[in-house]
Amino acid sequence: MRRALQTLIVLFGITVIAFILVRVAPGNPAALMLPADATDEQLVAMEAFMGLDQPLIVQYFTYLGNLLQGNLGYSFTYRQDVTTLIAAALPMTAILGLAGMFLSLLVSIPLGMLAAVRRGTAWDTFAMIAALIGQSMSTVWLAVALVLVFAVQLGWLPTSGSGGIEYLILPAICVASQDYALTTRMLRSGMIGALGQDYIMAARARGVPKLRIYWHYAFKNAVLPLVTVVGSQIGMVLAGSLIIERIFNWPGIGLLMSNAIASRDLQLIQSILLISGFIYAVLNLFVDALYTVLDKRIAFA
Amino acid sequence: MNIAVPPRTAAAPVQTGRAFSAVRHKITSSKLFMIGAVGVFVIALICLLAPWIVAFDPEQGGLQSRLLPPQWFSEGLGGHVLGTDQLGRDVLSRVLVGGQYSLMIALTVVVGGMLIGIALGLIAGYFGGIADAIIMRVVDVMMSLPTLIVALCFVAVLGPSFQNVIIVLALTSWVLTARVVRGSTLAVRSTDYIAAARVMGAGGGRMMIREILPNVLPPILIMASQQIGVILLTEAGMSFLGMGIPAPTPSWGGMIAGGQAYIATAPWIVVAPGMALMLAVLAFNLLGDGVRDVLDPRSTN
Amino acid sequence: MSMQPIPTSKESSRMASAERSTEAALDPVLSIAGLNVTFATSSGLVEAVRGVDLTASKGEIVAIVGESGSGKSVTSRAILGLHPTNATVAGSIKLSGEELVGLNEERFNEVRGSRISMVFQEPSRALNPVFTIGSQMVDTIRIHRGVSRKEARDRAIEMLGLVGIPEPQERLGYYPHQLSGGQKQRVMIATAVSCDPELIIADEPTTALDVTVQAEILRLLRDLRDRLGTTILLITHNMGVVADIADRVVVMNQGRIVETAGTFELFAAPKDAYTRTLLSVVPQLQSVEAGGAETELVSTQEPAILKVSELTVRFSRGFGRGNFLAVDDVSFALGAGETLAIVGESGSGKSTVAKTIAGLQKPTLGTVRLHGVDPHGSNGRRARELRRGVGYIFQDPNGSLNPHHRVEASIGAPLSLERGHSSKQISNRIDELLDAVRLPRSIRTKYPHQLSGGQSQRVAIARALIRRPSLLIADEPTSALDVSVQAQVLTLLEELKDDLGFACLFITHDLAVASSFADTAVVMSKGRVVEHGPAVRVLGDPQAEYTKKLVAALPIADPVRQRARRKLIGVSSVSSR
Repeated sequence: MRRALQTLIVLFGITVIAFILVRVAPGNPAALMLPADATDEQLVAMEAFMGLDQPLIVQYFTYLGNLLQGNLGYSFTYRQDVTTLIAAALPMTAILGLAGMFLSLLVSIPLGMLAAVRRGTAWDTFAMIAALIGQSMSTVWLAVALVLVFAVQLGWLPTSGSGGIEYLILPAICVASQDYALTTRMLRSGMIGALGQDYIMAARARGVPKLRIYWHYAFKNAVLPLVTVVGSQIGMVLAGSLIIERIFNWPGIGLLMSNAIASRDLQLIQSILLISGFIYAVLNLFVDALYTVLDKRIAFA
Repeated sequence: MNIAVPPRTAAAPVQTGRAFSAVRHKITSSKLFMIGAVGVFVIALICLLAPWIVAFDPEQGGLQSRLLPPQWFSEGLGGHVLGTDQLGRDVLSRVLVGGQYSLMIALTVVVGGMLIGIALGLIAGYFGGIADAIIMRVVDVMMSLPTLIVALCFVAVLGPSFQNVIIVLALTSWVLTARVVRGSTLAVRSTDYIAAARVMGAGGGRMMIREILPNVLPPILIMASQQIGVILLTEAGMSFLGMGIPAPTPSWGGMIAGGQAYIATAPWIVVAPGMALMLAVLAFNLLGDGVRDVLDPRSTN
Repeated sequence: MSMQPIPTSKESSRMASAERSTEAALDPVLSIAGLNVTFATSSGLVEAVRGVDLTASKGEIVAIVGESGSGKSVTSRAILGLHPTNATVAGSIKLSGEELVGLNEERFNEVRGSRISMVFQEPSRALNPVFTIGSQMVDTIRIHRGVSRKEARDRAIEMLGLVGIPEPQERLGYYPHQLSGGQKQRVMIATAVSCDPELIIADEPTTALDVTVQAEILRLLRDLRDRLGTTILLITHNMGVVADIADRVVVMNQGRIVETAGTFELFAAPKDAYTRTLLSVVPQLQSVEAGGAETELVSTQEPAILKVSELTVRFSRGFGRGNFLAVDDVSFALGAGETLAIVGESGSGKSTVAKTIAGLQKPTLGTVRLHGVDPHGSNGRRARELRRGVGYIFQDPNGSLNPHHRVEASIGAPLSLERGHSSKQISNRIDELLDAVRLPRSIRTKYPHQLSGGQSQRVAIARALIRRPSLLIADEPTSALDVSVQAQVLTLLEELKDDLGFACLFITHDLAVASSFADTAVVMSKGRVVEHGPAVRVLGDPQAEYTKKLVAALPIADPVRQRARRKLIGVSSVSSR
């Protein structure tokens, strides 16, 4: 229960930051909502309407109240309320994210296992170099390069947009490239750590064949720490989506945010910040709960 | 704590810590470290000396010399070695000067972030109680919001500039250091040698600096080198989206953004900064791995 | 693993007939001849085992004794081909006549767990924490026997019953951390016998267990040998265990066998000098000579240096999980120059008492008085001054020295914390103490990882004594050291006690050490004081039930007396704790 309480505090903190963000902006939020030739009375009326004449604390609680009712504000760029926009964009980012993570696991699990099992050999070096490149690669650069090669030069895949699965491939590869390095390394170090434990020696002493030791015994122990980073990986996906969705014109949260930033659409920016923070915090709670199911030694507090 | 940590096995290896002569030997024998260090040194030297060694003004271009392909060394260093961009500016000069800015940002942010993070992490880990709770909740909240998104939001709101980029990145990068330092401090705090110091009557400040800090520093140094790479990439992403180093000051991310449209006809505009970015991050990551190799060769990462 | 070809059918039949001819003679289950194990390290080749010859017949319990570095563990690992990849094994190891050296991995896996099983030292580390014990046992059985899951489960339940685990069906679903240390070791033994092995290698199987649990496990091993006729190869450094259970003893030192003999012979008339030394440093429970020992506590004339009154320490387990009473109403006093041993098994609270006295732990109830003053009650500075009169030594010598500080920094630290000492004065004191603990002055500039266990512990002693304390608290100071090193450190402490005259509070689980080292003994169990009196009397002629049980369980390093004692104690139920 302590964890749930902590998460609640974190959620509150996020709302505070999101709230502060908008108030920190120079310029008058009311003015942004009106056309350029608005009169002063219209400005004052808008301010009253938006509650900007109230003390800060009252504004904050009004804001919280709105949140609880599902009202995330209004985007003047899209001329729609934010909730609808986010509800439409979130699933798209989710699809991209899942596709990317799936690709990443497809690559990193074999790489990580290979590196650990053939530790110190050329395979290990190969896997580590692959991970190093992945870590050093800028998504910006990779995305642009992929588009250049596969879409422009070879014409195999479309350059941007969404639709069928062929639109998903390049952006998913970009997402995967951000992520696989960490997973590979963690799996490798987790496996090496597990393989060095007494219980693996004991299993060998019982005549358990090597393959079973790797994939059944050591693997489960090595994978546990990976569960803990799932949270931060989601964070990376969200952050990376900004760039990737912009380059590939994928209609997800990232593109939304990117456009919002470009046009200084504060309410939209604020709400996306809020939502991403919320998702992350709640997800971490689930991850911690999941961890206690997998590793019975830890009790869920 | 946001992330549950499985209990560590109790056995402490007999060999802990390093004497300085051993460290010197390790440094020269670690290939990773040497390559990384050389790479970093070269890159840093070139970039930091950039304004003095470039042949052309990176911000001035002539329309008559637009989109010239790379001349390599056909006209010596006085010619457009890497070609010109869409506004006639020399690509090589822009890459070098842009590198200077990027490196300076990365170094400032990482050093500043480390200092804050070490201080707060030590306090949280050593004193525990309220200080720990508050600091950790702040860390949790900040970690829920992906760095890029927060940085973009604040820069969008405050306006892109060199200082704003540094400030906002420094404010978000201390959290990881703080968490790691806190974890290390907690682990060290339960050792016998700290208990011995307490029995002797060593007090808070002296304890933290003399006894705990040297044991907590190694993982931080490793992280620092990797963080530089991360910040370089983040800043590039920000500049790509227009929220980083403001035009016309050259920046790697900005160059890629600007060159995107010409990717089919003049790929060098994008390739040059992309490769530079990748090499720089690679060098720092190698250095980071090398540092880990030197300080903690037992580590399985 | 070296890749030797699998013997051809001609070779196999030749082996088989050779085997049959030796069957007429004594049929050793295990036969090691000329075993050499060499490690390729960064500093060159290291010969860990040289020219070892060893046999074990059916149903025999053979003990390999030696200190750390003797090569006994390396030998046991080499039998099963579990040596590390940088080790080369040469020589011959035969199991019932079949050569094991050079087998490929597949053939070895057929032998491991089914014909030879291994039991490890730390049961909590040898069981995979994320799998139930049932799944680990069933897996082993199915790998070697190829039976159905249900049949394997039945066999596992049968084995758990055999080793005395109550409610075996339920326990199959338990995770390792839900069992006690003794129970985990029983599970390991159950797994080891589940496929009817010819040989069990037990590598320090009881070293990590409490004395009473150790006695039960030893009885279990004997029991299994009697019922199943399994041969047991027992690796140990504990001579009491050897005297209790072994039929034959092999003594190893620095990779070689120095002596082999039947147990009774070895103890009665050791031939080799090393064996004699080994036997002489084993601490013995002092016997109570008729009328010689005092039955009353000597009342000290001087005011007590340390007075503990009704000390109670309670730990809360966090959020509504209740409290844990670690120390319950403990009282005793210690006078100048007196040595008091607090004796108990793990979880008895003895360490908590020591930590509370040293100021590392706050008491929940009761008081601790140093020189008549309560350090917990006074303000910070007074408390710190009082603490200066106390020195503390920890169990793990390497863990108690900061790995980033040189020896001289560690030893001098207590003085540099005080004001009014010039660095020259401190340096001189450091030299004085290094001489007192018999360490060369050149050791000043070394780091802890460059020292041996014994050296590190002496450094810790020097550090504890540099402020001339009136009280030295030693928390299991020799438990992590080899027996011979332990003897040296204890002798050193005796000398220092005589020279410097400090009182000593000695925490230990080792009854024999307490008996020979301390004046007074306090026996603790589950946080309470069970018995209190002169050490020799309490441990030589205990009155309390618990102390009697403790003393009875301690194996004496004398096979004649030990086996006679066993008969006297009788056979109690084989249920586990």
